[in-house]
Amino acid sequence: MDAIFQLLQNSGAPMPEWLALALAILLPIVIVMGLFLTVFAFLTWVERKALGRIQNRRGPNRVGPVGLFQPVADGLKLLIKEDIVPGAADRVVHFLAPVLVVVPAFLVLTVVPVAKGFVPVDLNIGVLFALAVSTASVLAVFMAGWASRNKFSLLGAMRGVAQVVSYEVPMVLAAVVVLMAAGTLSSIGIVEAQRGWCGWFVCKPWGLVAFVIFQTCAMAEVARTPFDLPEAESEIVAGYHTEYSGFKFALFQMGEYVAAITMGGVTVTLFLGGYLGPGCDLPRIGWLVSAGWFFAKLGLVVVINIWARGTWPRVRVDQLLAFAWKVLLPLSLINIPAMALWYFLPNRLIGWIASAALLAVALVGLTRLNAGRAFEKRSYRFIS
Amino acid sequence: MNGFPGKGLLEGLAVTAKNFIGSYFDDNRKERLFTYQYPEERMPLPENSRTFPFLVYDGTPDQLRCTACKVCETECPPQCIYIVRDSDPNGKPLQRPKVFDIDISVCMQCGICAEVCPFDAIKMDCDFERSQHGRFEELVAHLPSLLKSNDYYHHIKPTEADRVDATRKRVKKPSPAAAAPAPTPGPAVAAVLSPTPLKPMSPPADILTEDEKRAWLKGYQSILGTGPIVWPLTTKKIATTPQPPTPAPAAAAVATPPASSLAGGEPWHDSGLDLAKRMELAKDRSLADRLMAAMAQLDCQACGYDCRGYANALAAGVTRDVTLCAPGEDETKNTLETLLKEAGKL
Repeated sequence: MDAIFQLLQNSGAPMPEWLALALAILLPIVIVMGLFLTVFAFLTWVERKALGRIQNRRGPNRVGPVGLFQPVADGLKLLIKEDIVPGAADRVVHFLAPVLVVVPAFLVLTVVPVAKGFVPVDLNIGVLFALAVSTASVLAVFMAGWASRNKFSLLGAMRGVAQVVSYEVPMVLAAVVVLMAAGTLSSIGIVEAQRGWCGWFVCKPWGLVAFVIFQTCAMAEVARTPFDLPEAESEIVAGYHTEYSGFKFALFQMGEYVAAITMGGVTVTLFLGGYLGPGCDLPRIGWLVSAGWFFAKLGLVVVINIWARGTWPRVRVDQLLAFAWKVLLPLSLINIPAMALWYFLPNRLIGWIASAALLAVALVGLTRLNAGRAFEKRSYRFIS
Repeated sequence: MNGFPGKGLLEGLAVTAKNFIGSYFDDNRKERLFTYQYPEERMPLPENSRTFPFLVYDGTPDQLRCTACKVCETECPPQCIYIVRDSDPNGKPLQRPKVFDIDISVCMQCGICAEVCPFDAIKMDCDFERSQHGRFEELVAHLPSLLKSNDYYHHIKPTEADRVDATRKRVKKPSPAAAAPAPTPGPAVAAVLSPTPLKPMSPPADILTEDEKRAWLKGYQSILGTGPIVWPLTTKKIATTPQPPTPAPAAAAVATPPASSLAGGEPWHDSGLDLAKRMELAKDRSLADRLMAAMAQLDCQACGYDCRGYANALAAGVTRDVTLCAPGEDETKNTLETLLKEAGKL
């Protein structure tokens, strides 16, 4: 933003200061929103195609070539649908919830560096901002559930709150090791700290564990399938958006998908080296190559999301919470000393092995401790 | 615990990855993606699939098999068939329908019309793409749209059509209007029943046990040469008629019709004549002849007999049911009732 402002000021073009300021503010917003909304639209297509193939179906293939315009058709259909508000609903809150669910999803994008030197706002507390804002969407979820005056909606909203509160803790703790290694909260600083061969944090033992924990928590936080309890359609109709139709429903879907993308962006920034990659420092086309790297990595994370959604069944509520508090939280706590071992031991190789060993022992120990009681094998008297 | 933590999760991921990649690159990916892309690809329909009825014609559309006998109209459970008989300029009724409407929004696709048709004229189609923009008039199929050739019938249902053709060839029906089928003298019951059996007859009346009936049926089938015959429908009316426990007197009465019945031929046996004219022609004849004159003269066998057989059966008291003549409608029913009442048989 500042860079654009200075560029406009120094370009010599006759332009009042307020216009340059407005342009500097609006330009990144337009770019980022347009880019990610397009990505969102076609992500729904990619997701439906991939899920279809996983289930040996073809997926959408009617609108446009290979169904490419399906998102357009869906959007138009939802746009012209009747908007139904339940009679007993709290109309103001009911209206505000779908708006608020989209805002935090987009706000996170302000601190995600999409390309080299391109981040809408380089906050020095970027990661903190991202983590804090992304959690705010649960407020909208709860508003939706509460305002609908519907038992299923409220159940879904309560589940959503319990889930996000539980998974926020291991998520932040998983991010802590990255902050320790980078020594900064600025997102660009974190990306720059991952330079060098095998510099990405995911290549370190503690980084890999933190990546898995963070990715799991991100999936839980945006309520994607193994953790989609707030909208579990086989249990509570559609959860918190049971009473939403038309474009409000589309906004919920959009909020969810955009949140999934932006959380993927945060994951890429924290663990996968952001926009770094061969060629990202080239003089003229560096920004383009680095943007390519960022979106390639983002695509990878999104594919992992879709793949997980197509594979794993939804967990139960007790399993969901037990997994967060009994496995992810202790593991992310142990991950911090493991990172310290890696950092402070004199030899990098020894540090590498020591931290890997500590984490392996912790993982096996936690699984053992959490293994449920094995039931005795039943024997039946009259059946051999 | 076997393996490492999360092994099951990774195995699951492997399975879905295999499906995903297999659906693009497998040699048998056609079988993997088993969905038929409907408008472009179509599943072959089973031969016995059926939707709505159509009318079969031989050769050209004016060689319609349908004689407007209205058996299907009568039997149709939801009453979705509407038939009006055609007539020539002089008002003489013809052996073909003028109006034949089927309301396919009412039709329940049961196929009973095809089963009861004595002329193999109405058969079940398998065309299922019948959606229309209107709810009322557009869902009524009129005569021109119902006409389909025998070739089409062979095309959609080869086995069934071959069987029907074989039966029609073997049992070449005399044109109902032209020849007056004389009642064949011989076994008592055969005289009551049609001389040209198209459909299973009931076993002779002196056979009483179930086993004997089965043996008779087997023999009957072997004569007819058409695979298994299904009992019900056409025979049910005979079977349900209260038959006298000792059929000898009745049978004897039928077997020896009054001499006068054949003396002057059967001038009324022309479905083109109206009822009053027919009754006029049979005025001085025996009861059986007058009863026969009241029939629709189609020999359609909707009643289980031909016209002569039904008249004889009524005259002999083998059946008392006067409602069986479907083409004759109420007109015939009322006349039969009057005649039988006059004769003191009802």
